[in-house]
Amino acid sequence: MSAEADFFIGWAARAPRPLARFIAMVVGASLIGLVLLAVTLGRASDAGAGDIVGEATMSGVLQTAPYPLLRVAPDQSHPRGHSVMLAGEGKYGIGPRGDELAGKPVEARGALVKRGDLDMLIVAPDDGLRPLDQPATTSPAIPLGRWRVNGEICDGKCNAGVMRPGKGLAHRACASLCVSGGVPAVFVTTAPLESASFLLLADANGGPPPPAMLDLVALPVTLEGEVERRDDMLVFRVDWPRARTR
Amino acid sequence: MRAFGSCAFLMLSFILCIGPLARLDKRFLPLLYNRRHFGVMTSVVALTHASHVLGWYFGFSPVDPYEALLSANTGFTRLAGFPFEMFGVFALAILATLAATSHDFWLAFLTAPVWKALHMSIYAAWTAVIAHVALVAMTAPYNGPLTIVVITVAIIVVGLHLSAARAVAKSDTPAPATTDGWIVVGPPSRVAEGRGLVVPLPNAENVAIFRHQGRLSAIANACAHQNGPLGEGRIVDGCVTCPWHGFQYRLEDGAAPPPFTEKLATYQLRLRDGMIELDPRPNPPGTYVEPVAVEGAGA
Repeated sequence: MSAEADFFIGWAARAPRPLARFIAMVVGASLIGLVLLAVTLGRASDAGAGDIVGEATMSGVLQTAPYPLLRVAPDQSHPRGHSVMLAGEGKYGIGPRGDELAGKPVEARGALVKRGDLDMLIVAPDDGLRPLDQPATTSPAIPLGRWRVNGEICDGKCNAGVMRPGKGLAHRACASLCVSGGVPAVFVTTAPLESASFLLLADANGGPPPPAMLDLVALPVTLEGEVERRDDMLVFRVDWPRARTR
Repeated sequence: MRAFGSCAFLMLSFILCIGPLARLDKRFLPLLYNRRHFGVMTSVVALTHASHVLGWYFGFSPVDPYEALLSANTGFTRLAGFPFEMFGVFALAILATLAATSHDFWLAFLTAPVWKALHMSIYAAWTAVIAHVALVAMTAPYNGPLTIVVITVAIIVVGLHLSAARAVAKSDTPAPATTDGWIVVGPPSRVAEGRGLVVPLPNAENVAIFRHQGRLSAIANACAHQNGPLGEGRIVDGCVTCPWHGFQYRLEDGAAPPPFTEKLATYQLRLRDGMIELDPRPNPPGTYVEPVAVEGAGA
């Protein structure tokens, strides 16, 4: 078999040396380019500051409207009191256990997810919620007036750090499934409101948002309504008929 | 999830660049040999991405993941929030089909033209992947770098194809025909020893004329394997050797040497007034044609 220096034949015993060198250079450059791209894209992603920080046990009063919340009494690190959103494992809420214990003092145990000023406890199945024999005291909600806010509707669990990315179009279907399953819906604002970047979503009467909200999940939207403070959490009582995409 | 998705997108784009790169610079031809293997790997990477998406984004919910994939977002009538996943499903279906039919068995079973046409759907898959990635990249403020990558990659792939198409168009001008229907190719010096010359026919077919040991022969330019351009190949061991995958054909009858059975059409040549002339009517594949000796050339 005679071959020429610039002609490659796959079944030949040996590739021409100049061609082999050229292809090695192309493959090497492509690999280096791929690594650089991977590093650049990895850094640019929405890694967020959120994460599952570990197991936690908390005590407080369980409220179920608009979504299950644990109202923890004020302490040194939370002088206003601390409201922690509650969800079940997977794309589920805490289920009927929440209704049974609504308004009562409870001890909640599970995995704590934190992202900025947003805390969520993923309540352990079976014995994650336990009634406590103590008085149920919570501070009243403080009205902060009517607001029109730009942002994105997400589920409080993924956006807190369980999924990456936990917002945007890529996460839209996941967020819809989470919210449909009972995971609290939050509004991630484009600019801080009263120093908060997340607001718990509600309907105008303080109940859970209507099913029509699902059409707006993960889109850039403008919402209008009353904002109130419960402990260190802002609750957005949205006038849903006025909600619109930007 | 994102890493596998980005990787599949870049691999697919690289695969599409191999063809035009090889057309523009023959040193890239060796990459053609492994293009199919690379394609199958891309399909596996894309499938891994899809299984992660199904397991995470569509899993852990009361709804079946496959049902959720089709029902969680049905906003097909607007751009904002468009179910971009469907572009991914479409592309994955094509990639899986191409991977499943990548073996030479399917090439022989479907015939080269049908197999080639089927595998051209890779362009539909790539377009869908661009839409799939671009919709996500351009709607998330933190995805600026991904947006730049998608636009750059799209420009490179389209640009290379346009350049290659322009290069092919330049060399595709049919030669003038004589009064008896033969085509005047030009002086024998146009065909270098051991090399081929591609002659486009009026019916859009191409013929490859080769000079071997001072004698000229003409066979169909499209390789029976994958329609590779034989005229851009070389003569190795007395046979025309395809630049794509090394398939070989004898010059005088267009047949692959035993034990192989592929056969190509041959064409009649003649020398008149110092010019090569080609009869554009093909002989049945495997027909013997006596090579034409070039005057003054050493045997």
